[in-house]
Amino acid sequence: MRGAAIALAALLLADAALADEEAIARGAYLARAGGCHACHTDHVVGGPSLAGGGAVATPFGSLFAPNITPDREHGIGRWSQAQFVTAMRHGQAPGSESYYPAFPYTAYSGITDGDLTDLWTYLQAQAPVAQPSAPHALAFPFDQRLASWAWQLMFFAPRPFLADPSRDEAWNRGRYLAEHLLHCGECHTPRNLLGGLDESLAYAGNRDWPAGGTVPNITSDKATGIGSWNANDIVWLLKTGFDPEGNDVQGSMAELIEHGSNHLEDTDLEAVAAYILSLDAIVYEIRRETSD
Amino acid sequence: MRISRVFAGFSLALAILIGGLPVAEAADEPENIIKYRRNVMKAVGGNMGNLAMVAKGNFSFTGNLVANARGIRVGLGMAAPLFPEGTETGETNALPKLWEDKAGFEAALRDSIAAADDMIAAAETGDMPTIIGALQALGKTCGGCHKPYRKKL
Repeated sequence: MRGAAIALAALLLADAALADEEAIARGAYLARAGGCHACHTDHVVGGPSLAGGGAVATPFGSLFAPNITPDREHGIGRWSQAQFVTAMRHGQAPGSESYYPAFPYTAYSGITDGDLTDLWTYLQAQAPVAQPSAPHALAFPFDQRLASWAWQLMFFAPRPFLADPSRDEAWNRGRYLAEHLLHCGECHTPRNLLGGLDESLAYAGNRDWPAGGTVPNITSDKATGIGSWNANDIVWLLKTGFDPEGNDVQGSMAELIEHGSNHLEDTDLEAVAAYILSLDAIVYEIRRETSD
Repeated sequence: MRISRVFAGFSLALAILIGGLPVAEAADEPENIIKYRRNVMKAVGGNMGNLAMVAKGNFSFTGNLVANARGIRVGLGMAAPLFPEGTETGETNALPKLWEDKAGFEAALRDSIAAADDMIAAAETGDMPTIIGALQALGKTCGGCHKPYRKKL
């Protein structure tokens, strides 16, 4: 009897451990899709994974993605899962501070409960790194946290994922990934003077990217967008960083490909391609210098 | 006339010995050197694009893969001397850092050339997974120069 109880307990524990392992693996995949490593790891100096990233240029100054390892002092080791969900869904740090929208919580707000749980489980399972997060370097008045609070008031409402039953499963999976995890629109949709997304030009590109250069129009317009591309072209770009003309993508997209989309399954990349190819054409010219 | 030709041949040989072909003579206008090197890079890109068209399944003819790979190798082999002093301004996306760190630039270019040699060998096998692997490895080396030494486009 006692032996059986011990055996059962061991079995349950093993089961729980296995379930945890699976959640961590799913979370690791979702973290790649969400581009966590691209921003939260400093690839320039080869910094420790997820322990804080290099500068993210914005029109208002430079932001640094913080340490999101479970370090209790410098990372998110003291957070509860509920606090993590609030950060991802509402852009609110524990306490009452609002995040700057360089952290794409506007897109992440549509990540499902299950996926957030897996992401949390994965992040909690990482090695804590005792490395302080770099302070942001913003110009006044944007350095005031009240500014990001006001920004949220003007431009932010949580955006839950809405499946479209008239479309197939792959398209819906692609929409979920592109809109919420890969957060394509955060760069490919232009912003107004105060940094709010201009949804009338969704995915039509950014003429003046704060870090330098431009972000292309990825709607299906033939002349100014990627209307001449097919699904293979999009999948290839997300895997290798090359456009159909043989030009290599650089800048933050190169980092998102190398540390993010390049790690995704072909079926998911094909789903993203199906969704992107279905975007309505918007005529919006982005002048891009040719390669040299 | 004859003597000057011999002399020219001799100085060319000497120039090759001491530091690459003197392709960009002082006589050449910087803007023409820039145009020329842009064409070289376009040719490299065109060959990359066509290799990728086959690799990703948009085009079925495999008979040119080796030639495309060689084209990339040839183009990259032309690049180093096409960035002489005086061509850092004008219609170029190259950054001044390229001239401040010539050694770094040339080392990164050598990495690309080595990857292009591997690309030729991979194309000669005719095995698509090998070709795709070599193409991805080659692709990664482009950033070696483009990240530090080229403007963000």
